[in-house]
Amino acid sequence: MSLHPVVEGTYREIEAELGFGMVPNVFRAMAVKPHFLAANWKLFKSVVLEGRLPRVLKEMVGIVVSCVHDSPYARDVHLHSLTVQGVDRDVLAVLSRGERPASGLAPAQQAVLELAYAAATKPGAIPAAAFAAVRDAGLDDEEVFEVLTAVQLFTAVNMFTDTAAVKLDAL
Amino acid sequence: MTQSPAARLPTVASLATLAELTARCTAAPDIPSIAAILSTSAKWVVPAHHVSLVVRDGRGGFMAWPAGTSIVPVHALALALERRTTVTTGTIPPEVAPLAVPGITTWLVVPLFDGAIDVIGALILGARAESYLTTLDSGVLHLLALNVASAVRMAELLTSERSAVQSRDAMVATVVHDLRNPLAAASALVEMMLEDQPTGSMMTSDLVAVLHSLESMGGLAEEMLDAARAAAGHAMTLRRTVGDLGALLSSALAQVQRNLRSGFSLQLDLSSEPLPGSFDASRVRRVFDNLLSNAMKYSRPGGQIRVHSGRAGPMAVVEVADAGIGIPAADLPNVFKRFHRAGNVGTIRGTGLGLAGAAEIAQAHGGYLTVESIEGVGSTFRLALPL
Repeated sequence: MSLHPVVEGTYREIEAELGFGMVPNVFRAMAVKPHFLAANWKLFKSVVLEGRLPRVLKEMVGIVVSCVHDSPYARDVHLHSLTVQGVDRDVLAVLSRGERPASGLAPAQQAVLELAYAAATKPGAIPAAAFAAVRDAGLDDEEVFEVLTAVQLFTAVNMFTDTAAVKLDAL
Repeated sequence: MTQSPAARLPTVASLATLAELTARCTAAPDIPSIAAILSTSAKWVVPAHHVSLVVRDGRGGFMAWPAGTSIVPVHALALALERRTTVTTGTIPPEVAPLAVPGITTWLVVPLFDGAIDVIGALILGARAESYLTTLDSGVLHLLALNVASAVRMAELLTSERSAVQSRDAMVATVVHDLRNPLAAASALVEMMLEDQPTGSMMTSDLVAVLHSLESMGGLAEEMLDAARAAAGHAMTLRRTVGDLGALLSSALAQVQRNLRSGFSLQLDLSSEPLPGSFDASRVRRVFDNLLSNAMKYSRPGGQIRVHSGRAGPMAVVEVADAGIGIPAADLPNVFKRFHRAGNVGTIRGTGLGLAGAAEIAQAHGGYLTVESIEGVGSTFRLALPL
């Protein structure tokens, strides 16, 4: 059975732009609603693949948020992705335990992960110190916004993959 | 700068971010863009609150970014270039390093080398406190400088090449534009001669052949003009009219059937319903002509060409499938790139512009053109346009 043209076009974009060489199950699970799939891919692309924060850092945010929500899918996918991209295994081991690395990252990256943790844990009560730290590390409004949108995106991804019981891809 | 081993950052985690920063710098079209990327993104790799890029201008002076960076610590820069090594403001008297960036108290100047000897500029990092820069890992810093120097050299080469390519594209656009008028005049003349021919005249088929050749040349000229415009960075401007895609396809098929070489056969599975929408009819016709002529060109004698049209949700879909030589897997990712031709085309002539132009036309309409192909078995091109 041939795919819906919107699904086919979206899959093609995902294969070309995501860098995994395949379409992850989280997107395949959305194909039943082609325009929902297309909209979510555009959102993912805008948050993770575009913008000024490094993709590596946004994927680390994905792990931090997924650990807060005890959601295995995005945590394991991004742990695999970051391993492939050469991030230190010690740093990834700390992240996978739901902690933030005390060393091994530039101060700006550490400050971002602390802010992401605070936003995912208690979004209505983010400590002022968490915002002060990212400001001190040189982040401007747009970059802080990118951190918060990454937290929002991965929170939604966690809810979707947990409720839909999305299986981990054969990575 | 003194640095205790305990204060040094492990490099490996920063290297993944450095690779991303390098990729962004390398993809930058010019040096100001590299400086802008460093200004906003170097902080993910090195603990700096301010980054300036200084590059020799080839006339004995320097250019500095961000714009108006007269505040760079010029003496530290001179020292770095003289010593060919990294210096901090701690190694020169503060009064000769007049800094004017609010809050920045400590500077680090890193020379950018082109090869082992030539210094082409410097990377200047500023921090609000010395303790910030003392956490810096020198390995990451030198890799950053090395990669920025490469990106700067590449941007200089690209800027020079771009200027040459722009001149060439402008000339091609002018020549092609000027070709259109005589082609249109010749076509009009042949059409008039055709009207004057008595029924059954021997000349008629010859004149029709001439007219088709002129139309092909006109199509090629339009294709080259679109390619020149796209190369110059201009978006395609569509001249949309409301029409039936099915009728447009039928007209293209009628011409193919007139010119069908012996041994070929067409299998048609066309939508019985009209496919109404708003299209640039001339360009969409060019896409059909291109797909159909490719199907014939790359088919073996006796081959069958299958054409299907229909509706899929909000899109009209046209498929052209052949049982020809197919496209090697290695060429598939590049099949819609300008001037690319597959490795197995041999002596079959082509410009490498047709499919690239067809994909751009589909995209400009909000649709897409895709291909599935197996070398030696055949190719199926699928055009989808919103209705």
